[in-house]
Amino acid sequence: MATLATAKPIPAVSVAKRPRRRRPQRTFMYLFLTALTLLWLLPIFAALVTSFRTMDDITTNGFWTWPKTWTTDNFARAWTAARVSKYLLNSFIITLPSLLGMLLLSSMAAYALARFRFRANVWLYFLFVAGTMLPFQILMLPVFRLTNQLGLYDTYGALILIHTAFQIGFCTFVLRNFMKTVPSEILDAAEVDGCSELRIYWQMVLPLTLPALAALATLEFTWVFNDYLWAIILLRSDTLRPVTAGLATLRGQYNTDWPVITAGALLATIPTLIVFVFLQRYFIQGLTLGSSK
Amino acid sequence: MSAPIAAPFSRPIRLEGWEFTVSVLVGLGCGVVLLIAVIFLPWWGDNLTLNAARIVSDNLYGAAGALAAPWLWLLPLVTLLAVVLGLWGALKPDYDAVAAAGMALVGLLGLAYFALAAPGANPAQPGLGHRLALLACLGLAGQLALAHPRVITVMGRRRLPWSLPKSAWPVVFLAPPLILYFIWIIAPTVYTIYLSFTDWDSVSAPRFIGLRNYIHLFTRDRNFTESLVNNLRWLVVFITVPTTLGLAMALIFNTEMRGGRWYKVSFYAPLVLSLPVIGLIWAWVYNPRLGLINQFLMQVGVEPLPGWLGDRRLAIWCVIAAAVWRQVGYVMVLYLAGLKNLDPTLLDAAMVDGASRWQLFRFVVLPLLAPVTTIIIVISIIDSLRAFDLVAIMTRGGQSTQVLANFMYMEAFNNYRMGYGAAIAVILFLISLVFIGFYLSRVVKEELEY
Repeated sequence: MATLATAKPIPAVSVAKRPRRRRPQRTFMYLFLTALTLLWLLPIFAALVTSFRTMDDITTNGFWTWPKTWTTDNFARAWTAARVSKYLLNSFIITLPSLLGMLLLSSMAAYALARFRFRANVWLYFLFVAGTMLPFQILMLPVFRLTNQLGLYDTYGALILIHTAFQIGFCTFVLRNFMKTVPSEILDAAEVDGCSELRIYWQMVLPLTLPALAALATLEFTWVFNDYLWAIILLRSDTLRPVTAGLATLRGQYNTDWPVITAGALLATIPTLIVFVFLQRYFIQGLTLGSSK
Repeated sequence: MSAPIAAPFSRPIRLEGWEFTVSVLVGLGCGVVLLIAVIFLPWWGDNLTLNAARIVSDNLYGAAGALAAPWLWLLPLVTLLAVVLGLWGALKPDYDAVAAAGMALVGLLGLAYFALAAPGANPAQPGLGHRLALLACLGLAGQLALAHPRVITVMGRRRLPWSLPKSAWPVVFLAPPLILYFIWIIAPTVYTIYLSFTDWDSVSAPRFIGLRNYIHLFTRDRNFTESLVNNLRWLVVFITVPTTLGLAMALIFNTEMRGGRWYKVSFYAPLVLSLPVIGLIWAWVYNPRLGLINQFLMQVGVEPLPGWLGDRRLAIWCVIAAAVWRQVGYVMVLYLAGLKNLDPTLLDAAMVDGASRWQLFRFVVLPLLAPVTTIIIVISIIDSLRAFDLVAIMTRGGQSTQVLANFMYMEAFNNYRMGYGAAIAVILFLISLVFIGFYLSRVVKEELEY
């Protein structure tokens, strides 16, 4: 049993409560973890190194050699000639209004579901929960047809509407469960004092829900920003494309010029990376909020 | 009395800030109107696709046939500032006067556009968006007046002239989200089911053809069986590999260890990369001649080199491997949260009773994590059925890597067999429905216990 325990990293759950393990074992664990981490991030490192090299350098010397020349030219080309800067701007134009819309609308729905008692309450809640897991394909054709008929096809608005609508389900689910934890006594007290429901919603419940809103906003930002499917279905013009769809075009244009492609891919990641680095706590909270219930 | 209730919430509830907030709310409303006017409504004439956001984008891009629109870029900027200031003022009542003043300035900036863009410059009539935006900018600039203390007191003191019965409030709050949700999510789901019984080709009107699409799918379409098998492979791998790996990682990182945070971060870092980016990076890793793996194998002297994405037998596993790479971090985060919520007294009790580490894991930790595991498995299944981006980017469904989601997309949007595509979507939906139903039944049980 003892040998089995040393071979498996699993029992480490309890290590904090046990007397310290022997030193060599610990060093071995660190070495093992470091190696694993490096291997895990290897694709990202590979992309990073590639984006600083020239294609000639890679073809003549091979990938696993120390680069002869370092160049930032690939980034410059991806940024301007391959239009990644423009695609990034489009991504923001699509993502920010969607975020605003989904958080506003879903917090309204969540407030109604958490505060009021009426017959359809739970059923509407189930409806929202069920919608979060739909495969996008079941919506694609009617949404495509509807945006065409509304004259919204090939506009930012088409993407903003579908993102807002689709994410309402998940946001309502999370926010409703969070708002349930606000004791209804304080809300009732405010109501007795003559506070209108609008004001309770806007000035009491929303500020109290701020942690959940922040977590959701962070998570949803990365989701909407990283969407690819809807962008290729509802947009045709290159001028409106978000960065995910733009990258796919990039692949077509710079077919074998991998340094430019990887440079573009890395540039496209910067906004979500910034969000991840600075709002990591909220991001993780958002991920776990959705699954804790 | 109030202490135990107030304790969990660090933020004091401030109601006396309401007077200022009226003006901030008006400003925020103007910001939202501006947003809608800029993004959704026609700027010149009545062509919906010719909205301000698009005109700005075309100009910025230098697209052929872009409408000349000097200074129009001011408006998206004004919109962004107005909304941000409005939200800030509403959330931080202490600064709402500053926010109101800021919004007034921003409104003046917006009016500057209307002053600068000469009315005769464009031949077309100003559209609805143009006129609404002008109104919204006037409203924003009006903040200057609203923010004046006297106006504020008058507005704040007066109660709303109308009041609603209590039973009407749920309708007020639920109607806007539900209408949007119904139009874009529920109705399309039903409509796709109808379309799957037709031969719609996106040009002529859909014609009802009964079950013919389904019969064709199941009896004659090789691609369909291939996609189904690939989805099944994806599903099996997704249930097993990331779950065990993620659990192992979570157990390792759940201990106190120096630098543990950095290891953790590097494992869930792939989660923030978008799937197209992951697809591109891995396509480069798999590159048969210059890629990371084959260059390494070449140095080691492996002969012949595997073709990875070019090899019909390997390709789908390569795509799945890239997907797993992303999923492990996600599962790890969920398990870490689950481990944090475990009751330490239970673990201590087991240890006092002399349980070995393996027993502790097998008979205490694992059963306690069962609810988390169930959710992770449901999420993994749903994610594997949604698999689209990686296949679309890495192979475009070639090399026997077709999956249902991409197959549906290609049939509907490349081959214009919309009815046929709808049938594939319905089958995908029915498969998901099994798991959605399972998950929902758990939620239902939980809710009805209240």
